[in-house]
Amino acid sequence: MQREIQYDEIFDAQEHYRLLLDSMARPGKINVMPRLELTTPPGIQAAGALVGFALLNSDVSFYIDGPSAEEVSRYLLVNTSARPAEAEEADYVYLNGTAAAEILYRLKTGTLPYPENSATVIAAVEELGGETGLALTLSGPGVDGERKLSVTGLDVALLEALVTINAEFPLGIDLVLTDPTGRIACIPRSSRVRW
Amino acid sequence: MGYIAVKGGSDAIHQAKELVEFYRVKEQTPPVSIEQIRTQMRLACDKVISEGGLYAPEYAAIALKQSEGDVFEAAFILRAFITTLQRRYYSETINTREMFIRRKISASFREIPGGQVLGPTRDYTQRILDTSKIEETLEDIRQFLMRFEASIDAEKVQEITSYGKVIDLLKREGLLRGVGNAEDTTLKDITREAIKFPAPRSARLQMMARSETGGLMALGYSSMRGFGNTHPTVGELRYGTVPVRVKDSSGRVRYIGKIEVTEAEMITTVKTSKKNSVPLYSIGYGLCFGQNDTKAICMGILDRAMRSPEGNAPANDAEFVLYHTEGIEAMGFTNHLKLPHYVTFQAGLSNLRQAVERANAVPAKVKAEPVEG
Amino acid sequence: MIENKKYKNSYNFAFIDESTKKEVRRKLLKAVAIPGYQVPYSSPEMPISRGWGTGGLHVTLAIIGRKDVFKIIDQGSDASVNACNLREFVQAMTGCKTTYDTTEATLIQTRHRITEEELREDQIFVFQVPMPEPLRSVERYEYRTRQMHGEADYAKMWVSLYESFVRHGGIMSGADYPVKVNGRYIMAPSPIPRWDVPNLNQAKTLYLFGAGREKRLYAVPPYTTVEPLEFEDVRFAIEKFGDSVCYKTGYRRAFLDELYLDDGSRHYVINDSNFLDKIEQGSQITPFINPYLQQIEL
Repeated sequence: MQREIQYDEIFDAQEHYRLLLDSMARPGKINVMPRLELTTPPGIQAAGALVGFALLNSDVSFYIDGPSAEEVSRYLLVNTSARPAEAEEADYVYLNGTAAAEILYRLKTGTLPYPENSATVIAAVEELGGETGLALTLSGPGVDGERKLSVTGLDVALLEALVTINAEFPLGIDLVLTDPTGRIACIPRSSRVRW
Repeated sequence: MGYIAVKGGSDAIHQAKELVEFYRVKEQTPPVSIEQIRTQMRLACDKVISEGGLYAPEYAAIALKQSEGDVFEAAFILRAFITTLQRRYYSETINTREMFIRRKISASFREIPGGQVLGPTRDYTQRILDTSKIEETLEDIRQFLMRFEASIDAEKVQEITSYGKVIDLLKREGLLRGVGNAEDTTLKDITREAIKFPAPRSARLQMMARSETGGLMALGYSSMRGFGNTHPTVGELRYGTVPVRVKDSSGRVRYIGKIEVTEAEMITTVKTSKKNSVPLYSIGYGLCFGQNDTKAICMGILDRAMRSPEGNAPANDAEFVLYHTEGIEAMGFTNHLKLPHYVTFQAGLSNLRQAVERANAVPAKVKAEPVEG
Repeated sequence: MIENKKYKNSYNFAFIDESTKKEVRRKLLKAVAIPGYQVPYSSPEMPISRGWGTGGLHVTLAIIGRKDVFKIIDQGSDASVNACNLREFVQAMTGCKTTYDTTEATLIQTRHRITEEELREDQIFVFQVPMPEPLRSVERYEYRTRQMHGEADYAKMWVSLYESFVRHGGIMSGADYPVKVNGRYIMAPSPIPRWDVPNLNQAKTLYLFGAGREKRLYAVPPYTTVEPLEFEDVRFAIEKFGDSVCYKTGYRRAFLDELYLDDGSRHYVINDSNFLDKIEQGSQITPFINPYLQQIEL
């Protein structure tokens, strides 16, 4: 497995990070990661890989949930030097929108003095912002009143688990959703979600 | 009219930069060479590499020249320079038992293995201003070096250049309190993460290794003078070179060079409130780049003091010691008072004027009452 | 590598190494997810003194891109000496376009003021923060203030505000007035005057805060509730300038600087230098609107 040569570690990382920051600051707002010639293995979407490239390095760890875990792990290790870890310790967790909800309960949610010491979940779904799908209504910090986000391929059970865990705010998990066309949207733990 | 703090900022700072350079060179004396600073101002360079946290004596000499001898400024320059360098490795733990000794003394015992080696020190000289230094020439230096080398007895040069430690003697006899606390062994890297309190010992020692000598000295001194309960003895003070090794990508350990360090092991007694327990010795540890007795000794005093937080003296207070002896931060923040603060001041003025108004409103009310009579 | 002719050295784009940028970026995301909470970070050394804007710089340099248009102000002024120094540094390290025009900028760094002109959704506003811990004046120990924030135990803070009122008839906090963010964390907004505090509330722009010396990052996302601490019967108020107006433009609905001229006479002038320029030139202005400002006649 080789490093992605089409990826610019300085300028692509910065550009993609700004999109991610914008989405996290404005929950539910869809941003589109630019198309790059990546050679992602099955089990990780291009947008998910780009989120990882923007944030991961040897100081943090990740966990991959799903059948292609080993290949994706190696891909991220080679491209970011981040370390694979158990779900209980991982800083960044990749999973599918259809993953079993139990996985979320294994992840770090921080401590009261240090709530930031918690996992960020990157969940791959089928479509963001489409005509059909689960219609989420988000409110709270970052949202002027309410914002609607439609998601296809996100299990309601997973959402329910997220909401339950984030009820312990400031402890919680922050979610980044990605789809195959490069769209991303975020649900930070500060958000209120209805569907 | 003086500079108006608001407009013309660019011009003002460029002129100031020109002017300070003018002050550095206006007497048109021959430019000081970096080599001269590195070799003849060795202890200033040692302070700069120690407080900058970067072992680079030549760069320290450049920084001292650039800052006209201002050690704070020079250490700052070096510290900022670190940010531009890529971090590639963590070294293997340095073993000071491998030190090629230049200086080794102990105040705790009259005689120690290898003997008391005073080494290069001005401790026992008289501090009389030596005006003959004005006329020093390169020839004088050559003559001195020739005489010096001639006085060395080649036969007496010993093969053994590393020695066991004084604390090993105490350990053997069971007189040293073990470092039993799990917290003490957590390894942090303070250049990679902000220090969090309570801080493990590795973080405290790392911070002090870069601390400003004067700050450490003041607090160490206070601890000895009654603002604390530590009166330690120098178990051992060493200065010399130690080898540095790193693990390469294949896992092999490689020697990459040597550095000069000063190490102090201060022996203190732990007061214990437990009945029938022996007040064993405890070690306060200090280690810094270059030759700097004061810093290593004070590090040792404060390392011990911070492990007794029940004392209420500043030296026992880890947050107090570590935050306030960080020279780069302290210098920056105290000096930041020079920055314009007129908005903050205006905000406060507004409050004060209203408070004055409220205070003055009271007597007026009283006066309004008609006096019967 | 960007060839940097001024320093005759090659520096990484935006000076900071990519590893540190990533650390700051990760921590900022968490800060945004937990509005008002201070995230510790490594805060590496910069060639600028501690206490002179290293935190703001860390944030700016971690997020700035080649296409950003950068503005920096100090005490409201673009031409202030320290702003000039930092602007030159950022410009030299990124090659970005810089501007004095608040509406043209995409990324704005500030010391102790929010602009008079309203900030937009496509802008990011970065504060330089000297003392990020709002509870420091009532609790000197970091490990205790951490606990207090964690447990939302803010009793000591409220008591000190009450005591201030009892002693002086008013809450004596001037600049750096403590606020509650998202109904949860008490936050130090940096020493901006009370005038600016209402503009943090439900704003369109993302506010990021960097305290370099103290090594903390925090954020107020857009459309977030930010409430100054006040009592039901002792309310927060912005600075009052009475009948004073800007002596250059006659404008009164802006934070004013007090000046003393050589003849000893006292005058007031609009503090925000770009705002002043625009009004003087008759250009269009788009000021913030909030209930406190609306009480001032234009």
